Amino acid sequence: MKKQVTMREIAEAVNTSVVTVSNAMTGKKGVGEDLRRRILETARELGYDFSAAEKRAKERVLTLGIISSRRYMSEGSSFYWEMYQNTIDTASRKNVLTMLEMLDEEGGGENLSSLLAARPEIDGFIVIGRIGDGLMRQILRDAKGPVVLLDFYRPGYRCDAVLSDNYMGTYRTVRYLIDRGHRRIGFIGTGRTSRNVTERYYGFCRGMQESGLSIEREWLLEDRDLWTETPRIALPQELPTAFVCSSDYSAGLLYRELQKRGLRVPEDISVIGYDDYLYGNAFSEKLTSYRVDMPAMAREAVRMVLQRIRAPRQPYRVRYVDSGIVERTSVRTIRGKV
Amino acid sequence: MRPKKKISQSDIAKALGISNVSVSNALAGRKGVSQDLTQKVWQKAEKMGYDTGEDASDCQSGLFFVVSRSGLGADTEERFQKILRDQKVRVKCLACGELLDPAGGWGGSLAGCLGVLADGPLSAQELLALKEKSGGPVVGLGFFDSRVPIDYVMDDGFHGAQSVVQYLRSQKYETILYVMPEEAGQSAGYAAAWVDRLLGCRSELYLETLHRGATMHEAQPFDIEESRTALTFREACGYLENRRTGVRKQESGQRARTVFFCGDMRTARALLRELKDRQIRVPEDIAVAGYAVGEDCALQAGREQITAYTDSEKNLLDLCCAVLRHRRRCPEAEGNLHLAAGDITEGSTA
Repeated sequence: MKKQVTMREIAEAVNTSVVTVSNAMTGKKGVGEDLRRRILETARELGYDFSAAEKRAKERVLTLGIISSRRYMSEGSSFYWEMYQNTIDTASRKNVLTMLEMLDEEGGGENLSSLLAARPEIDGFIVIGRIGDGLMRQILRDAKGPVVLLDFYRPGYRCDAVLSDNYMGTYRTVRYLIDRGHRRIGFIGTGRTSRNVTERYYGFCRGMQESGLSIEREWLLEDRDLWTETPRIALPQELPTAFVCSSDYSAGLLYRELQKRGLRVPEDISVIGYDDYLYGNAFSEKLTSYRVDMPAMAREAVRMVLQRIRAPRQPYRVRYVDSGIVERTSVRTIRGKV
Repeated sequence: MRPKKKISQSDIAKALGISNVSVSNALAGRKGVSQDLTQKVWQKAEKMGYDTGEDASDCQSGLFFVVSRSGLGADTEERFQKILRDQKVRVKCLACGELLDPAGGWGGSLAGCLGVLADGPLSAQELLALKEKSGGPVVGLGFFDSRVPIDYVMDDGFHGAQSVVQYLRSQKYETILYVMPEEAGQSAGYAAAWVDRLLGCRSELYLETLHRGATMHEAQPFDIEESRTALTFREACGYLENRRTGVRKQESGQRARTVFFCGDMRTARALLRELKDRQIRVPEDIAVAGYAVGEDCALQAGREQITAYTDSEKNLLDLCCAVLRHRRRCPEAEGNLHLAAGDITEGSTA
């Protein structure tokens, strides 16, 4: 298959920028006549397909519907708000329009349904964060275009999803600790309430198992009291040298508990978090954490939905986006290692 | 963005006294430029430090080295070449020593190669030496060493196993028994793969209990492997022994309620043989599911297509090429782990 000549190649041949080439070819201002002539000549000589370009320009602009639960998207900084920003940013770079619908799951009542999902002119949907099963099924039923879930998934849904790689992410944080000499490591998180946290726990298991370290039951702590539904960490008498926290939020809680005991981080106990999203907490400047790459996840979600608009019959995929650890100062290297 | 200080194609054109168009055609491998001139343009470009940033298919050699501890042989090389036909690369399989040893087997140049694939775990020193010698990106396939900052491609054992359990649940199996592959003689890299699958299975079974009736409060806060959810092959056979009356011959039209999920295809095939010997019907009396990666995907037990999570060699190798290409364009220091996405193949065994 003959490879298409791209605008970049034309730009390199003429030694100018892609933007200038694009402007020259679409007749915009800002390009001198001489240069414009040279660009067009070069484009012809290289065999640039002008007709394809014209067709692209005439293509319909796509619209994506973005659906999220109001509980996640309330004002102020929020993990999901930022994810929403990244999504619309990616979409607009691809000249795709977006419409947002916030569903009030708490106050909306039993007959709550997504109005956006039913609109036939929406080409595809991205659902950000968790929403109730009933609502989810309604969206999947009504949507005329493909649906991609962002940072949420439940097996059985016939759609694509983009998730942070909870398993490998937490595994990396355990490795980070082990590489710095830690051998007695605990885990903080309430798996019982969240798939994400459960998967992170298994990532922790993988890291410990790989290095032949034993998992001590007394160092596995939940971060909330399920009966009273309040955040709570009950620290045992004897502590490990480090804790892997299933979220920065629980790391923040842990920090408070440690402070109450007069323990310092990282001098007495090392702490590593997950999300790289902790705000309104003095600890946020110190906390070493696994970063959830929101821009990458948003990009992937937009990419997946656009791809499925073009090729609707591919098998459904769940994509896991891995990233890396943001080092700050909450982990101490135990002497003699690394 | 207009490249400011970099060498441009015009510079090369001027240096050789030819047109910009010719340089562009030569670098892109298009017709209209003679072989001779293409060669000259490439050499000049390299000499002047021109950043091609193009796909390997435009690189002169497009060589793709597949390196392993003991070498993979001509058959494998041919198979890889066929699989990677659409990637426009030339595959060369070598033993690690052959590539690294200056006096050893490979005397050719590594310039312009796509990169090096380490097929199977190599030591940290070997990997770093490969990286240095080839001057290009290195990707490890089927293992992960966090101490060596190169790229890695693996099958997604954790999520793959989860998807099998999810599939089996959707097929209404009530009891899922995970059978571990025998680990005798496995090196550390491969052992990790088994762990991923086992943990994936356990995680999905744990999450299940949350959805199925156990309220949050009753569920165990943490799954510590004391309740064994995984069986060895011997234990699986023991299960058949003890429960022989329990593995009921189902009425026609009824389905088995129990399924063995085997961590690899060798175990699945061995189990199927056991079941056949005991005249237990699959899937009517008991079902079997597997996990197939790479070569394993091509081999199926006789007439039976085993229901399994499959991640084909092509899928993995394509991902390796994509990773190497990406790394050539963005050679930042940190390597990364890339997990391939496989699919469930519905067979006749579950």
